[in-house]
This record gives sequence, structure tokens and C-alpha cells, in this order.
Amino acid sequence: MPLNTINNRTVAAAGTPVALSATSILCNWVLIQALAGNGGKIYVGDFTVLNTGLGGITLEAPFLNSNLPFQTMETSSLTALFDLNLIFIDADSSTDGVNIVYAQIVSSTPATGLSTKTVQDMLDDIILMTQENSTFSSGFWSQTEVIDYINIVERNFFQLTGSVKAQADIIGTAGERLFNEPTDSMELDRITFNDIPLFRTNRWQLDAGNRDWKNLTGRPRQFHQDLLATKQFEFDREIVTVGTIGTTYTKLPVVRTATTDILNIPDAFCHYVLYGVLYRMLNKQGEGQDLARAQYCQMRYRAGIQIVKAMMLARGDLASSLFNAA
Amino acid sequence: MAISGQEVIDTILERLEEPLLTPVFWTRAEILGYVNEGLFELNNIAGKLHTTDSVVVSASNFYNTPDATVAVMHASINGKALVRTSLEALDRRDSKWESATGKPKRWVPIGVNLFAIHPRPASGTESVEFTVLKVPTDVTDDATAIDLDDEFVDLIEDYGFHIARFKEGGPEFANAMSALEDFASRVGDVSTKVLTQQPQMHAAEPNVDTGKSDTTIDRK
Repeated sequence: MPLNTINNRTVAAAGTPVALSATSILCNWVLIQALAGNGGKIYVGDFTVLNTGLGGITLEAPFLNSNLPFQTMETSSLTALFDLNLIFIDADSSTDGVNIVYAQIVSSTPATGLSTKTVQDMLDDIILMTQENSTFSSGFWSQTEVIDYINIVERNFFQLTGSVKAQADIIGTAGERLFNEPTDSMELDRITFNDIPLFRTNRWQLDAGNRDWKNLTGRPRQFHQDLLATKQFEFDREIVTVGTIGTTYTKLPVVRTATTDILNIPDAFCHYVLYGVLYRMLNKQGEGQDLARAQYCQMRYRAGIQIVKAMMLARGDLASSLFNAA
Repeated sequence: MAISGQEVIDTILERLEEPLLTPVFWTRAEILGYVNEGLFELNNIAGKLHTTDSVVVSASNFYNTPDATVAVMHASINGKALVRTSLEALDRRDSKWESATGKPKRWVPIGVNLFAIHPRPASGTESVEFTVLKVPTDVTDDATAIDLDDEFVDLIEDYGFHIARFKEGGPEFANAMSALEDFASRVGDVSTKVLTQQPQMHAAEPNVDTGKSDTTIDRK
């Protein structure tokens, strides 16, 4: 489990809480310690925490009054429960701050409760179908290369089917209108602000509606992702009062590196990813190339995408016709 | 449901001209894997294997689907069906729907792993009963019967035979394409049987002639 640190996260202005991280960082365990040189107490809580003692708990500099650092319990499940973007600190004195240590179980986190198969399970299938051995001693492909293919095909499958979704909350800070998508987001489906949906638009429509929209403030009604940096979205109004931005999105699969890692793909769709990987392997230039079987695998992979898309419409008849057409 | 995984594997090995107990070019475990893949594929295409499950809902609108689910097909509470709709339809109908409380009337599939309910319970909990397309129970190489109508078991036999020839490649695999074509055409029969057994799915509340449904004329 990798251990990570954030040093000197400070509160610029006492009375204005700041998140432990400006972006979403999911983790399984967090330890927060007040800086030794702090002039006053630190307050830890959600975004409502204030140095008046409203909400949260207090931290003092280490060794003062034998005060212990704050730490979360370690989550026993593989799911990362804590988001540093949703834990806030305030301070009695401006520029006081904390040091943070957190741990993430990243590589073994299953995407959903629907996935139980491991990278090794898929490698075993590939080894059988290509008459390889467990060390890929033919030299046509390496195990690392094949695991890379698995990651690429999983991403492609998630993108083309939009089948695995996730949700995350982001704090909408007053005075802000530009935000980053959650770190595991591939494509935003829906955004809410304080549980009210915002509708997607684009820069042209906003400009056409009101050339001065960049100076509007209030409750946001629309969002766009047009002409912005990667994975950013912007509201049509600057937020006046802090609130919660709810996001629903197609999940970006976690990159798998170890053979014991659980695949992102739900078990029922594993064989489609298998054919996508075999397509890449058999299409590779070299002695292992077999274009006829590569073409077959590509057909099976594409059919799998159509089957899953049809399944999400609860249309069995549509799925069977697509399969034949493929 | 009387045909076993052992029998299917034996048949496939016979078609491959392999000894049943100690096959040379394939192992029984390998063939078993292909049979299971065939069952998964049949189930994904035709939506064949259903089961029921439940999720307790309370103060939130959003939940994970039950484990071992391929897709949720139907939802109800105490036997009363919930209407399937979409997030966009709810958003456009009432932008404050996430704040609404009461007995849930609608459900929304979100991908294959999440769902939403509307409204959410005002207090306490409700158990939402789901009919789901389930992840098939793995076939085993013994006398246990396969969870599939006997008349359709030959489909997964065709599929297993076809995939087994994949590793041979060349003309052997090309010749086995007919087995996949048989599978693909017959899986439509399974799909037809499933569809004729399914209840009518409504796009909105079936309050015919009450004027309260999205699909009926407002007669007020």
C-alpha cells in the first residue's frame, strides 16, 4: 500500500476553511497533524467546519498538551472511503496549517461489486488460446505487454459502452465557476448543484444567450465543457454560497499492474475484453501475427460492445440481431 | 434441466476426436472454460437467466445494483411495480426530484452497476425487489445439471466446440465457424422465448385514461 504525504497545507485566511486537497484524492486512511509552529488550534471537519468551534474536532500543535494527531480509521474493505477534497480544516490564525499522511490501496480496488476475476484469470485464458506458457517464452509477446493490452481494452470498452458508472461529490466553493472532474471520471453524464440538475450546454450557446455570462453570479443552472482544459467543467454562474456539486460519470478503469489485481470489467463481460486483447496480440507485427484470427477477435469484441449497449436498453431481441449483423 | 456439464464436455471432445478421459490437445478444464463462456454469451444476448434479489433503500436516491447481477430488468416494492425511467426524464420533469420523499414509484438504471429511486423514503426503509439478469452459475465437470433448458444446451456445446478450435487456427478454425453461426442463429430462438415470457414493459405509468401518465392524453 503506497504511503503519500502532503506537507504544509495551510489556511490562508482564518475563518475560511480549505480542503486538504484541491482535487479529489480517494484514500483508505488519513493522518493529520498540526504544524509545530502553529499560533492556534486547527479544526477538522466537513466544509461547514469553522474556527468558532462549529462542527468538527480540534487539533493542537504536536507536543502541546500531549495532543495526538487526528487519524481516520483504516478501511478494512478494498474500497477507498475518504476523499481529501471533502475533508476541511480551519484555523485560529491565518497561515496555520497541517501535515497530512494518507494511504491508498489503489491497485487492488475492484471497480464494482460485479467484478471478481483477476488479471491472472484473463492471462490464463489468453495462454490457453494462444498456446503460450505461463512465462510467454515464445517471445511473441511479454506478460507486461499483455497486461498493457488488458488496460487499454478495458478503457476502450468502458468508453464505448458507458456501462460502468460512478458518482462523487465535489465541494463548490464560493467565488468559483471552474472545476475539475473527479480523478476517476472518463466522461460526465450528469451534474447537480445542491441536488438540482444542471443541463449541459456549450460556450457558443452561453455567448449567444448573454455575452456577459462570465460575470453572472448565483445558483448555477447550466454547465459546459467547451474550450476548457482536459477534464474541467464550468458553470454558467459563479457560485455565491458554498454547496455540493454531485457528479455521475462513466468510470475510468483503474490501471492494473499485478496479476492478483481484480479486473475492472464486470465478470459477465470479461470475454469481450479477452477478444479485444487477443485482437491486439494477433494483429501485432511479427511471428505471432495471425490476421485471420485477429479479424475474428475484432469482430467478437465489436459484437460484445453492441451486446452490452443493447442490454442496457433491456432489449434482448436487439442484442441478438446485432450479434448476427456483426 | 437434466443435461450435465460432464455430458457436454464429453460431446465436445467426441466432436474433436479426443479421448474423453485424457484428451491430448485440450484439457477437460479448458473445454469447461469454453462451455462457461458460451453460457455467459447466450445469457448476455438472450437475457435468459433471471433471479430475484432485493436492496434496502432509505434516505438516498442512489444505490449499487445487487452483486452477481448482469443487468436489472424489473423493480417492485411489496409486489407493486416501479416504473422504469431515466435520469434525464426525471431531471426534465422535476428539477427537485432528488428532494422528494414518499413511497418510491420509479426506478432508473444507471449503467449496469447503479440505480436510482424516486421518490426516496421519507423515513425508515423500503425493500426494493429486483428481477435481474444474473451472472450464470458456472457449469461444472460433473453430473450437476446445467441451469438451462435442455433444448438449448446444444448451443453452448456448439460454442465450446467452436472456441476450442480457435487455438488450432488455420483451416481447422475456419471450418468451425459454422458452429458459431449455428449458435448465433439459435440464440435468437432463446431470445424469442424470453421475450414471449416477459411482461409488457411500460415506458411510463400505465394509468390509461387517467390523464396522469406521460403517454396518455390529459383529459382534465
